[in-house]
Amino acid sequence: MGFYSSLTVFTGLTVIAVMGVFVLTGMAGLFSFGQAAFMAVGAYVAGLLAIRMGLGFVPAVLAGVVASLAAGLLVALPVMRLRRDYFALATFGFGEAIRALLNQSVGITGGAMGLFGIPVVTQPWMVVGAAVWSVWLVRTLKRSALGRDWQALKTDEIAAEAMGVPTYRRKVEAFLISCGLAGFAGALFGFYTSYVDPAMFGWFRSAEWIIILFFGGINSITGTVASALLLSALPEFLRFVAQWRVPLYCGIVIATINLRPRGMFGDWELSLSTPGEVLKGVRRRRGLAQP
Amino acid sequence: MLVQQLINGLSLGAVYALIAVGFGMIFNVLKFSNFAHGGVITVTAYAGYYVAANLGWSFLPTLAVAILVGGLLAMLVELVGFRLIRRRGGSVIFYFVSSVTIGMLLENLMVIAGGPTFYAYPDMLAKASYPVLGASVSTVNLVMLAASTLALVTLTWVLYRTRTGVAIRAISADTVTAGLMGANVDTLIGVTFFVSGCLAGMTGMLLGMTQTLFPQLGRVVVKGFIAAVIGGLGSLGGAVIGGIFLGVVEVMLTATIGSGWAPVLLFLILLSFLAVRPQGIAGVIAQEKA
Amino acid sequence: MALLSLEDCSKHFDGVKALQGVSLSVPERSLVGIIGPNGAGKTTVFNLVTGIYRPTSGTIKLDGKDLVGQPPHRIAAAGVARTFQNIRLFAGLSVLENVQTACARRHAYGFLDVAACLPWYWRKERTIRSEALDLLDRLALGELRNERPGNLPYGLQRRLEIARALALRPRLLLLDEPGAGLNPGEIRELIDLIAELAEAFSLTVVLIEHRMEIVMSLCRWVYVLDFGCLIAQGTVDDVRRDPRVIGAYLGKEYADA
Repeated sequence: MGFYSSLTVFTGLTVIAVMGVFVLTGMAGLFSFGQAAFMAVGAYVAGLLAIRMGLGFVPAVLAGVVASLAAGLLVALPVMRLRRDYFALATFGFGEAIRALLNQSVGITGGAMGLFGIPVVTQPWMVVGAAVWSVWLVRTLKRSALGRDWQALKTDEIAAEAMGVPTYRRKVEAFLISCGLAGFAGALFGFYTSYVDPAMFGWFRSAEWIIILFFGGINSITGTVASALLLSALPEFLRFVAQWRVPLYCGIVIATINLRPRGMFGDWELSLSTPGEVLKGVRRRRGLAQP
Repeated sequence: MLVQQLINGLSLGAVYALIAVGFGMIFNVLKFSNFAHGGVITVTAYAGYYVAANLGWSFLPTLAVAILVGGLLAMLVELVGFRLIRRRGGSVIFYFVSSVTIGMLLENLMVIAGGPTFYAYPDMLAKASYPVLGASVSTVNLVMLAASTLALVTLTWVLYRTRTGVAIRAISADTVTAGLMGANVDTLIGVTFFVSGCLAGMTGMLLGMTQTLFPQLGRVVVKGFIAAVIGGLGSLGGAVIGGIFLGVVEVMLTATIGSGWAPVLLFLILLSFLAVRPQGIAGVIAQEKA
Repeated sequence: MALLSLEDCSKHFDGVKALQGVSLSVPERSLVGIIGPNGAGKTTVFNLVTGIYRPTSGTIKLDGKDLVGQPPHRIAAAGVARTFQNIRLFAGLSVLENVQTACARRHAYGFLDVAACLPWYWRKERTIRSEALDLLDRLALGELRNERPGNLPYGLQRRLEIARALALRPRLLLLDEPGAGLNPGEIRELIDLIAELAEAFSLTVVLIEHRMEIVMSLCRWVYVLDFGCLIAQGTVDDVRRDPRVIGAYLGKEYADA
């Protein structure tokens, strides 16, 4: 576990989880303060199955994802019809409950001491691959009918319903996708560090993901990825100011929200045609555009 | 034993009610859940500790300092965190993230100021416990109950019997119209934050005295939120009932199944409550206008 | 046969009686107007029909099928589309995407289709896009397809809202004050547009309007609401001579005179 290899893995896992937050918060406009708990569910379920039942890497990761989806469904079904604040509250409560559960069931999870001995399987290239895949998935979703439905219901739920968008169903789907991605990141995480404990998945981590999203721009996948890379890698190089890391984060976010509310990247997306458009713009400015 | 638990529950509930009311006041005016309230609670607890431990002040002056610090800090929070968003007419999401971030910022500033260590308030009360109905109840809990009750009664009087109170209730009902009718919205929102900050100051100091003092103290704001939801978001009377209900349930649960499992059960209670009666005890629910 | 019928519909909000025992029936392929002073309950009728509110009592039927209790998106899928009094476009989406959102109902696909990149997902997405573009061209909004709705002038926003509603391919179109905020030239265009679209898409139209020239040129039958009650109905000319209607608009003393 060299410095750069672990940096790559942790940054990649952040990208995966933050892509889930992008779907939930950026597109559907819902807040979850318990996303890290779904990461915990993924990590523990996959890890426990691997340790106790000798399940292989791929099935264990899949089981971790399925478990976080099931947990997501448990939270979503009763509260998704209610006001958005209630959803935020329920996810927060879920996060705390999961932590208490993991701490208390010492016999199964090792309690606060953590779970040891998950086989080390995850390689940096796998995480990079998974991160690229999740960015691709979310980008495709954003351009699909689901993405349009989410963005429609984010701005105006009543108008969206009137245009035939099944808002309840779509919100549940957005939440499940984000839970699945968080669980996926968690399972990969466990198989990299070989050790997980409940304190790793507190609500601060969930809040950090939201901060990353807002810093990059809630409407821009490009911005979110860039901000995930920057904000998760930068502090590693700034260890000497460790204490000031969080206040610095907070200052950045408060300034962003107040002064540049649409994030550093606004609505801008990098696309394959972007270089072409930039060139066209340059030509036009120089009066070289085709008639 | 039961009497003691009940009184402990009531006094914890009274503090939750304080949080829920401070939280609910902001919700009424700006329609968002102000998590920065927790940060203010933390800072005031530290301010109170500083005055009591380092300057040796007695209970009442310390409380006054905590309340004042809370009020002023909350006004600062509004100025830095929410005013520009309000001017721009930004959506609730922005208030929400801003408030969470400020809560985190204040908490971490306290980590830097005081380190992650735990502190204990000096003993400021003459007697550690009093006998009530045959049970021995700690003085802090009694003070907590009395102070919270007094604060809530005062607040009700201010809101319903003074000019400023009426104006605050007017902007809660409709900020834009109240502004058009000549209410100075900026000042009134400032005042609302000040009052809510004063409640936070009181909460912070009382919690610091009963529990130990640590930077994450303010996260108890979530309990206030839960209490506000149980009571019915937007209803201050409901917030009080919700707070006391939550306090009693929590103390009872901790006594019966232990503090480790209590959050799990509390979450399940909350979830079923939301599923069965989302409008809260008071029955008011803020609904989007079609 | 009536396409839409309300029978004895009431809606109370905590004691405020927004609608009391209103019955109305809208024949297939007709243009019907609902008029009345502010606060008469006109928009409440639309909110009941589209399922945003549930009536306190009464029945609402579309082509004989009960709509009460259905969620709004089902009612939209059943063929009821609407516009809003205070334009409610999706601000975060482009003009084209606004229309595509409504188009997508008839070409639905799910998460798995997208994640697995199944061929029908691409096909449906292409259909949605071309249908939305056709509609935009038809309403002369094609050039603006990549704009944000917020950047359009008011009149075009109203027109985009109509385009979005039409993308549902509705049988019944509910227009809530389509003429509000338009200048006389735009009103003229709007009247022609509504008549043309109703013909081209075989629509049944109900419109709420204050501008009498719109109601007069388009509607054969008019319902008049006041304080939540239906006080008159008939042709435009009948209704205009009805003393109760004059009273509701101008005050009782005018009606008596």
